[in-house]
Formats: sequence, C-alpha cells, structure tokens
Amino acid sequence: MHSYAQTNVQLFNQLRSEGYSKQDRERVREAYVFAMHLFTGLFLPSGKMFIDHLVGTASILASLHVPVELVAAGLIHAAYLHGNFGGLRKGISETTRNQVKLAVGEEVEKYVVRYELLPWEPETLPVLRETIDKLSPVDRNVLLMRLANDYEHNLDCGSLYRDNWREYIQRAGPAMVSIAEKLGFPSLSAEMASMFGDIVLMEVPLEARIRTSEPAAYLVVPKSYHQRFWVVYLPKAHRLCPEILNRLRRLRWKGSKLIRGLLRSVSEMARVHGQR
Amino acid sequence: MQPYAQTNLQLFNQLRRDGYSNTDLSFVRDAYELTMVLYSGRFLPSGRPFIAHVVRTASILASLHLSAQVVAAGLLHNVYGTGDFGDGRNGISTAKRALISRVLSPEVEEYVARFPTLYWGSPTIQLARDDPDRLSPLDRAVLLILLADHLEHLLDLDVLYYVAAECRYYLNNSHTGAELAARLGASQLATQLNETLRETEFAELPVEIPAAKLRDRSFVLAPRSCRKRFSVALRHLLVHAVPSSRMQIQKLRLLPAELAKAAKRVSRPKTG
Repeated sequence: MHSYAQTNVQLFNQLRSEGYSKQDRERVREAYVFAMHLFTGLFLPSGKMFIDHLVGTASILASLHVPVELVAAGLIHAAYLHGNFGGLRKGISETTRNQVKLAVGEEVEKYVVRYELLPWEPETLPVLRETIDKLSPVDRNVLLMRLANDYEHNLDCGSLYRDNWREYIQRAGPAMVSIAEKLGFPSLSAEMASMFGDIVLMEVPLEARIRTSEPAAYLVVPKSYHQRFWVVYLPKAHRLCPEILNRLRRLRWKGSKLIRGLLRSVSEMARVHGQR
Repeated sequence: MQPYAQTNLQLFNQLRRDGYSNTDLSFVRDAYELTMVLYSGRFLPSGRPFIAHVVRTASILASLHLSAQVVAAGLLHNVYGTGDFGDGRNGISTAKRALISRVLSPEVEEYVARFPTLYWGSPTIQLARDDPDRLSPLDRAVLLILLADHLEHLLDLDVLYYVAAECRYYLNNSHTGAELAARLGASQLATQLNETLRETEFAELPVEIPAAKLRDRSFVLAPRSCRKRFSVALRHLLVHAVPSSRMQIQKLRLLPAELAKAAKRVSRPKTG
C-alpha cells in the first residue's frame, strides 16, 4: 500500500512529520473544511469518495515539500469542475470565485482557477512540456498539481474503473513523466513511470462502477434529503428550451407558408373574378 | 502510516492479496455499495468521512482473516445507530433489518443487529473475559467487530479530535479491549491496541481545534444543492417539540400545587 494520506487526519499527521508549521497546518485544515462542504456525498466511478482523492492529491504535493498554498489548493483543485456550490451552474463565475477566495484566500484561489483553465489533453501535453521554461512559477505549480491529480487517480488501480483511462495513460503518460522530470521532481517522475507501466497491463480487479452512468464523479444524495426542485428541473427546462423554440420556429414557418398560399389563392381568385 | 485500507479500492486490493475469492469480493463490494448509500455525507467528529471509518474497520477484520460475511458486517457495523435509511428514525426496525437481509444476507444482518447490544459492561463482554470458550460463534465475531471498531477510532489520533469525555471513554476501555483481544486469540489486535493506546495517550493534535468546535458524535453534511425531505424534517420537528411540550404540560400540572405551597408560606404566621 502506498504511503500517501487518504483522510484528513492522516494528512495533518503527514504535514507535521514533513515539517510544515502550525500555521501551515491550520491553513490546510481550513481548506479541508471548505472541501467537506463542496464535495460531500460525491464519489468517483470506482466508488472511492471524491474527498479521499482530494486528500490524496494534497498528500502527494506535501510529500514534494511544496508551499502550503499549493497543498491547500490541491485539496480543492476540482472546486470549479465538481464542487457543489448549491447553484445551478458549475464552473467559474464571479460568485463561486468569491466564495473560494473568502474560504481559502486569494493566493490559493489563483491556483485553483488556473488549474481549471489549463488546457490538459494528450495533444497539448507535448506543447506544455516544450514551454515549461517559459511558464511563470504559478503556472509551473499548477502543472505540478495537475500531475499530482492524475497520479492520485492511478493509486490503488483507481483509474482502471474509468472509461478510456488506459488509452489516456498510453497517450499522455510519457509526456507527464517527462514534465515531472523537467519541473524538477525526479522522484515523482520515476514513481509515475513505474505506475503507468504497471497500470496499462492490469485488469480491473472487480467491477465497481456503482449504478451510475456518470463518467467522472457523481453525487449520492443522503436518503433523508433530496435535490432542490430548481436544481433538478431548471437544467431540464434549459435543455428543453431550444427544442421548444425550434418547434415554434418550424410552426411559424409552416403557418406563414400557409397564409402566403392562402393570400396567393385569394388574390388569384380576385384576379380571375375581375377579368370576368 | 498503518497498513489498513482507508478506501474501498484499498480494501478490495487487500482482500485479493489475502486470498479472498471473487465471490467474497463481490459480496464485500455489495456491502460497500450499501454503505455508500446509508452513510453518504456523514463525517466523524474529526471531519473524517464515516465511510473511511467503516472501511478501515472492515480492513482490520480482513487482516484477521475472518469470513467475508464478518468483513461485510464490519462495513455496516453501526448502521442502525447512524445509517440514514431515509425515514428520519434512529435505531433498529423491521424494515431496516429486512433491507440488510435482502441486500446482503441474514447472517450479516444478525451480526449488525447484535453489535449495538454490546457495551463494555455487557454480560457478553464479562463472559468473554471469564470464559471465552463459552462464547457463541456469533458473539465471538461481533466482539471482534467491536474491537476492530475500537482500534479504528484510536488510529491516526482520531479520538483526540473528539470532546474530552468521548476521548477518555475510548482511552479508558482500550486496556480491556486489548485483554479481550488476547483472550479471543487475536494477539495481533491486542498488541496493536496497546501500541496505539500508548501513542495516542502521549500525542498532541497536529492542528488546533477550539474546544467549542469539538464534537462528541458523527454528523451529516448535506450537499448544498439538497434539502431535507419534508417528512423527515417534520418528524424531527415533532420529536423535538413533543418532549419540550411534555415538560411544559408537566410544569402546568405542578403549578396549582406550587401556588398552594407559596400561599401557605405567605399565610403562615411568623413564630418567635
């Protein structure tokens, strides 16, 4: 079993043994409390709790002795992608950014928002690798956070439960390994290389996709609760709107065609009548 | 860091490594799926997800090479106390028992139903201390679940995040737990209980939590896009309202007697 933390108490113990100060640990605790609110009830396709993944990512970053802001950012790195702010829309907005800033501070939020905006596809990785030297320190840290995220998904064979992950690792793995090396983390690079090599040969030990068709992360609502009415129905209405508009447009077009035809025939009849 | 699983993936990998069959693995996965539904959003006083607690309890049981049924029971061991069945009620009920029996097996349900009846002063514990050979297989398994649960709370200094009384409760009963584990033949568990107790007793929390924020029990943090069901909210309201209104009625009943007493005191002629 790997030595990375999977729970908050393990992470706090790790931070102490890695030499992070009391203030640093307090900062991470605050970020964890915020993460609890944003990611409660959220699971990965493997059935693993999303919050465990976040803690694992932060733990990988802490093991690399990065600044505490980055560790805290690791704890909420997916805030704009999967975080439950209670609103309708996910993603970056003024309101959600303000909430994050208020909870963890501007410095941490800066990492989280850049993480969300970073173009991270197998096709873009070679470009990122070639331009590492030109990146700002913040962007280099965001890149490291991205690597920690992907590495964490692979711990305990977790990635095998995700669709197309094997192909993703085959395509993106070598570039990720060399990015870690170029960022100055040879131990992480070696660990990733070894893990990616193993994982492409492995089989899923147990089908653990749990009654969901969601590809990335999904919410299991506690049984005494239910999703708010507008959270469930407004997106549906939003999806239905274009369809209804299209139908209305088609109806109007048909109607105007019919009226034009009628007018034409009336004028024709009037003309014939006039000639008589 | 202890070698016990904290996530379902680590638990599945451990079971496979320890030679559990595919059928066993599927059975434990079914138990985990039920755990996900019943404990979603629940956290321990330390802020650790409750699911992590039950997974590690199951992992400790698996490390003792107990049957898949017992490991599955470890995943659901306090479900009647803290599981959210959606009816707003705590405790055991026929419907809840039927659900566990149907999804898993009557054997697992029996373990889970027996668990809340065990406490440190219970006759079963006394019997285990006096003559463990007289314990039934069911009681033996449930006792091991209790010990695994106890050790789990001590690991990673988790109990230090609880209110002082709760923390003391765990620390005070650890010696008894270790003695019981030894008597049940689980010497590995006994050693770990003793070691963890020593570590925890002299440890300091790595983070500072104000005393007012310490909790004594687990709590649910609902997703922000969710709200409590009307029936559950109403039930909770009534459950809280009835005792307080009973007290008010009781006070009203006593009021005439109190008034009479006061009147007597006033009208009593002063002596001396």
